[in-house]
Amino acid sequence: MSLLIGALTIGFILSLLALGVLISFRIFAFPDITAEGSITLGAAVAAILLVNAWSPLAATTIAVLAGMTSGAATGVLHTRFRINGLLAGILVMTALYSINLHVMGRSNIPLLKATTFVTRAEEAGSFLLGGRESLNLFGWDVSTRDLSVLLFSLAVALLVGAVLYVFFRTDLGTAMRATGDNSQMIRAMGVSDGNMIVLGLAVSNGLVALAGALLAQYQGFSDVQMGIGMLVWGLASVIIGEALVGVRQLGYTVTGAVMGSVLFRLLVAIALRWGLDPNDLKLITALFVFVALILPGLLAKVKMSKAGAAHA
Amino acid sequence: MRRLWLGLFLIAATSSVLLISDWSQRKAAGGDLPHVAIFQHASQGILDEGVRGMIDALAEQGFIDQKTIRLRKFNAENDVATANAIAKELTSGQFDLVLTATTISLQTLANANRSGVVSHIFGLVSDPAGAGVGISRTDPLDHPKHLAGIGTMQPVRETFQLARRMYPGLKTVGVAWNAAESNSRANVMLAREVCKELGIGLLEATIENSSGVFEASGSLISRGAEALWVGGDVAVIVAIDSVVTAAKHGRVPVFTSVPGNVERGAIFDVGANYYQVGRLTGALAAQVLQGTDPAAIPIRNIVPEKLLLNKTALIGLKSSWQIPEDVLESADAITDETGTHTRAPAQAGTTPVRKANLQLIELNNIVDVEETEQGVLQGLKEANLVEGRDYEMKIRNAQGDMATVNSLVDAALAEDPDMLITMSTPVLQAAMQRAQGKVPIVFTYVASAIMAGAGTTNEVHLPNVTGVTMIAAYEEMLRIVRRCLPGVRRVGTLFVPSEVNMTFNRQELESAAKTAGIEVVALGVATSSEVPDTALALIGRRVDALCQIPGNLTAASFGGIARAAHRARIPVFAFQMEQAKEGASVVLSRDYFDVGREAAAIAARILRGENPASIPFLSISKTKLVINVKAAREVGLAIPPELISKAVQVIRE
Repeated sequence: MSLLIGALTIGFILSLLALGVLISFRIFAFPDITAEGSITLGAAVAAILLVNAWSPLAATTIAVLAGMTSGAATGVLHTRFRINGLLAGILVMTALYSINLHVMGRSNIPLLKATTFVTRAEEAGSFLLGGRESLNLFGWDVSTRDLSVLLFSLAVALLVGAVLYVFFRTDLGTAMRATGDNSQMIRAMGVSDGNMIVLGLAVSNGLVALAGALLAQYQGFSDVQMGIGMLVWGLASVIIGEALVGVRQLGYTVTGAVMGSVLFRLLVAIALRWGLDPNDLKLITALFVFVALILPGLLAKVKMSKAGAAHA
Repeated sequence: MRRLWLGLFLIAATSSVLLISDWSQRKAAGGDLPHVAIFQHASQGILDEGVRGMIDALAEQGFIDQKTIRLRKFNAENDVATANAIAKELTSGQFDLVLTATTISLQTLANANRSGVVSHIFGLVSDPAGAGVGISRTDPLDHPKHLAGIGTMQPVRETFQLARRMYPGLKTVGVAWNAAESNSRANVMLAREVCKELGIGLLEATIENSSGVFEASGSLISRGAEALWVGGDVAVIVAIDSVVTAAKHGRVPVFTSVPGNVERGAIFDVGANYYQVGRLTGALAAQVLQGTDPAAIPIRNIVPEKLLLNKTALIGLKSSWQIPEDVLESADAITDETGTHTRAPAQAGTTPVRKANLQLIELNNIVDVEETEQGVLQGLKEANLVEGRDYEMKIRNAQGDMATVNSLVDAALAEDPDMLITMSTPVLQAAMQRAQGKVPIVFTYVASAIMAGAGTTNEVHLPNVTGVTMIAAYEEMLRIVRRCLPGVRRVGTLFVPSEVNMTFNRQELESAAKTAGIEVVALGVATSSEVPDTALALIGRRVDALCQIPGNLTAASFGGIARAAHRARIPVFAFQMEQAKEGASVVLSRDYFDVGREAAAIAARILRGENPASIPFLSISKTKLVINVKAAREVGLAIPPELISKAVQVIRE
């Protein structure tokens, strides 16, 4: 049970990363790899502020702002200096590596003694349940600590998803989406597509940094290498999500990204729980992603052939 | 909404798969598992041992907490009011069986449980009949029908017989005792009888509390006692130091019928082995859980004996006490000038009875980690723990992926482990965060656990975390560098700023170099592709030698460093074993195998019941010297022959 709760919690936290990736890769069709640096940036900024006794809310907010700045930097490099989008991301990501080391002052900051969102959620959880350490849930013993952290990350994911949905339906949001779909058209309508890209990347990397800040608080430390490889998994979550919902309508893609991220972490958890040979872990995860991608298509085919059979 | 169903369905399906994998951890809700409580009166060594024995014996019979029973422990912490409150709680109807340790717990619970709401099994009681709870002295089956247990009278007769053997001329023995304790009264009554048989005169002095013990003991000696005896008397045992001090003044020995006093200066203890008593009590409780009626269990006096000797107490006595050879051989533990030596079979009794579940978590697959892992397995073997019999170990490896580390730790915790063994700093940190003090963690392959947040000093640390750290032997290495290159002024190293171990190691090298009067040039690299260029840049800074600190990335790309140095004819000194084969002239390595073994030794201590909080972090100091004569010759480095003779391995071709 604790493994399920842990997997769901990480799934929800990393769904913020998936949402960030969704904005840059899908909505703007911009291959932004700044995310690998900005997730660590979020973790680093939050960690250094938290060990200096800042409140979790302030630390996380500043981490998000830092992430937005890094995203905006990539956007400016691309739109003002005409640097290829992929390269602009690479430049900022590379620079962030050093910046993250400077922010933290060293490569790894433990947060075991700091007050974080996680400790706050634990306090709230144990307060609501009258100080009980654990709860019997359908026969499993669940620590209230894990449960309250799960509910907290679920709430954050839902909140961010809802805010994004509302935001992308405002005039500004619609213009941003239109920039990704057809930048010539949006220029013709008198909107600066450059500004839209800068803004979009800022929002995207702000979300990624939020994921990093929460992840650091959840796992109890921030490490300068924690971002490596994250982008790929974020992208995998987005694509699994798309395969699941099957359409590219805004509400569905946002929900799909969250579901994809959760599903992905669950699959990894199963691979771990079954105690597969550690050397095969990555192979199995790749296999799972593959199955998750082709399954919706297969199901649709089965449905089609059934419908066909009924007609005949 | 229909479009979301597939996703939701898959999430539900995967969650169910995970839950089904965890099915064994499920606890039945409500009261279908028997509720068992263990009630002890105080936190005291022998009581804790007894309770441990009860739990072990229950587990051996298949009654394991959270699996087949719900077990709760209660401790009145020496407070009678608390004891009564606990007894009320225990008899409120929610428990099926209660085990008590000590006479007072027996009395309090029996008093609250007169109507027989719960079945009651007692242990660690000297004289059940004397406790006044309705147990007959003559008929073992005449007792309240819900109440049964084991009496453990102190082996008073055996104690006096042994005293006589050690000093055949023994004529008078003194005893200070508290008449208010029913246990003590029973002990002294028996002692009077035994002394009469043996022809020993028993001098008595009664006390009212512990503060009177010193005076009473002094008076006994001045009245001519040739030795002092201590029986099962709580007030006197608490003040055992006073008895020993008084006896020292009078140059007479102290012997007791309660184990654990030799360490305080008694000459011998013949007492009950309370762990074994606890086990017998637990076995009795298991019988009751299996359906035996307590009314049908006879109450017997059972004394599994334990003999502890103290050779140092023989020194300076008036009369010539001697320990016969056969007694020495049968002792469970012997204390001498060098400390206390426990006999091996007694240690076997303390091996964990339940198969321990160990989870070893690694961050990546490199040679050092593999060697450490081998060391851990060997160390467990050396600590007499056998895989399959005493423990099961599952090894997990994150393949260098940080995001997986958390899930790995969760997966390990999901198996309800008895201990996590972690390798590398991030794994330790994730384990500390996820285990939340509930599972002991033994770490290894960590340069500084303090930097990782596990504690403030080697002694003051998180209560569930301990382990082995290792820092490369910089001072020793710099001495070697100086002997090989007497004119050395400047050494260089590459480091990876993102590896917390490497930044730490760099600081250590720099501070050691400062004392040795050598300058250190350190250049940072981030990826292995940068290594060859940065190595060239380092050599361009006119270093006399490279002194490459250990790290994951530099180990993987060490060949590039060695080649650059070789071309510039600069010798390389390194700290990781395999680098001698890759072109380092001298390698002074920590013995990773040894590091693993030491971690396993700590793990074994914890599995045998030691508290991790009291085990300080251990820093490994053992080194291995490997010399590559060929590499040295190629760069024109003259290695003194006496250094070569110290090497454990010399590579010539």
